[in-house]
Amino acid sequence: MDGLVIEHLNKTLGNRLVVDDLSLRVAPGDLVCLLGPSGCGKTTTLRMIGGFLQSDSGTITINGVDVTTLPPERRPTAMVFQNYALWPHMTVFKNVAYGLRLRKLARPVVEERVVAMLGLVNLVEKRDRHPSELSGGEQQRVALARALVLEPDLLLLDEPLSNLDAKLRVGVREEIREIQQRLQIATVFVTHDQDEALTISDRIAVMSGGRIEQYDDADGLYRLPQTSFVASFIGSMSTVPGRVVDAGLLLGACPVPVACPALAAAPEIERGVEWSVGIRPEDVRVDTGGSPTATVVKEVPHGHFKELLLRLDGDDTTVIRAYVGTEHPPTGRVAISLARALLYRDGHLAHEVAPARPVVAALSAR
Amino acid sequence: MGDVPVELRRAERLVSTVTTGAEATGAEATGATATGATATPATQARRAPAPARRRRPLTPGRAAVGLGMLVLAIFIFGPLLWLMLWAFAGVWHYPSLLPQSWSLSWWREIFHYPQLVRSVGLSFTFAPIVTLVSAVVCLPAAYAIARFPVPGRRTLLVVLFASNAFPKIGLYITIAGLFYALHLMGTFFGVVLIQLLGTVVFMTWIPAASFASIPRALEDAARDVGASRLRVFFTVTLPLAAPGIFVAMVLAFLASFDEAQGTFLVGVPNYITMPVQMYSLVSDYPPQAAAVFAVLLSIPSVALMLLVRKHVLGGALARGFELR
Repeated sequence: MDGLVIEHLNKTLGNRLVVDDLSLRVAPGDLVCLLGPSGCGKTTTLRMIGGFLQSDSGTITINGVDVTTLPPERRPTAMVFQNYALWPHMTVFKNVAYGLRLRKLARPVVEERVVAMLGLVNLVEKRDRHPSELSGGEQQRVALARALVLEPDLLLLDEPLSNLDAKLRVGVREEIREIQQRLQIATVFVTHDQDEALTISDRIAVMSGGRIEQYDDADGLYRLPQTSFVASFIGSMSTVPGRVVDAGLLLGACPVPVACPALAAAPEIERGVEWSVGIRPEDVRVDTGGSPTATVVKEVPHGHFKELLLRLDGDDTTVIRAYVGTEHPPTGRVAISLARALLYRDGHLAHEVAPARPVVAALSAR
Repeated sequence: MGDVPVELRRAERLVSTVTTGAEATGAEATGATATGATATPATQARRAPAPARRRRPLTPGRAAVGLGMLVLAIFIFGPLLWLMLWAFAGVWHYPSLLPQSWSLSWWREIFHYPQLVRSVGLSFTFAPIVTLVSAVVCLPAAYAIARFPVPGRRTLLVVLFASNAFPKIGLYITIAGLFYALHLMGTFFGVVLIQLLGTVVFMTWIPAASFASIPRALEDAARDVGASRLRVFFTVTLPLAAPGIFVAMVLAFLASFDEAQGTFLVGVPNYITMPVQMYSLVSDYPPQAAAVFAVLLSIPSVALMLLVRKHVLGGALARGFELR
């Protein structure tokens, strides 16, 4: 297969297994995010793809060529470093031209390609500046230009936006995505920011403890998080212990109806056992009428919506979150029902309880 | 002139760093050089308190600092001034404050004395060669210490430093025995080798700190776009470490230029450099001759120190002596 293929990659640093039997495929032209908390092995994986770290075992293939043991200068990869790593003693032009000059290209060819690349990132007029004279966003673009000018088979981005302020970050990430799609270049993007990952990726590999927990597109990741780690890492999710009854769920000791007509006729969902029930806040309906089953304990404004913390009747510890509009948010005693719920056992997703797809039995990997 | 306290602090730091350097060369035979080297900072230190009096009220603390600066200036400039007077003195007898007559005759004498002219040539031959050899030997070591987890690197650095902390003459006597056995006594190579000893600590510590302060990602980035390790070193690492290396080379040059004990032991009678020549001038000639020669000997020191002033102030030297 073309693109990037990683198989059974392992890496131990110190005495810690940082990357644990990791396999990943990135199709040509795709942008894939490695997403996870710090220390999950995402940067280590990226550095192994770039050749800056040697893997202990496993193989890395790029467009059919095994690069596992090649040094970075002989891999068809180009990396944008977290702090950009621009050479401070060279101008913007020389930074971008450095790699081309190594390839012994004629001067006019180098000039032409560097100027074209600087045009792509809107920095032609800054060509004779030194990196210290540029803003963070401009430095970022120079780093991107320096990587792209070599027309690599694979672009590697190591948290490229973490040093930019929040406003700039959104603009630059859209710019990166736009350029990446225009050049149709396979890209691996490391980030700990789920927002970044969800907005620009074709697919996202959520990592934890050196393993990929789930490899999916943004939709799948959000709607059907396959493990409780992914569920808690992506978006907001309340996780409470509960049982399945014909009318819905028993969360703690509190009966909560679920908008799933077929639930009663779904014997494959075990009734007598305790599930770990995952509930997205937007799937919780809060009504002031009917027979109340929960109490609003806290209201958190988020601008265009409000988040409610609801304590379910039955015991004091079961609290779930719900999103409501800003107009007349319910207070005091309320009745709740669920549009959707996910059932986990041993940290893995077993069933989705939803109206459109009444019961989805154990999801296989997508 | 800018902010006064900053100016003061810079001047103090410069004085302290340069003094460290001068002490570490172990150039006690050529006191003239040490004073020459500190002339630059002293000028700054002396200038600094003046506007302070104009801008702020004279507190006892400030007065004490001013007095301290004055004492320091006299301490540094006094001997140098005395030396200059002697260099141009014809007759000067106690208790006169100034020479009774002036003369340039000793300058003429020195420039017409072939042995002295030859020693000037030798000094300016040995110092660059020793500096270059030192760079070639020490820079790779400095890079390795900065970049790789070399076992015992800390011990190595401390040992290098400690070798300058003891009286060298004992060490030289031992080395002399070895040099006799290896037929290095009285040879050009022997002199280079003995002078090399005093330069190693600068050439290792300061560049190692410079190399260590270069983010590794800058080197990774160069390899990423296709540069070999060697090319990365010459196009990225070396240019970025240049200020520190430059300071180290100047200090090594001066250490070699001022080296007297070892050169005396190994080089005499074939290779008599300027500092070695000073011994015979002091003992065999009137003070005027020695003064003229001392002034000549301090010219390169002053010139080079002025040259690296920017980098010394920039902290390349101070960073070099931080032990990590």
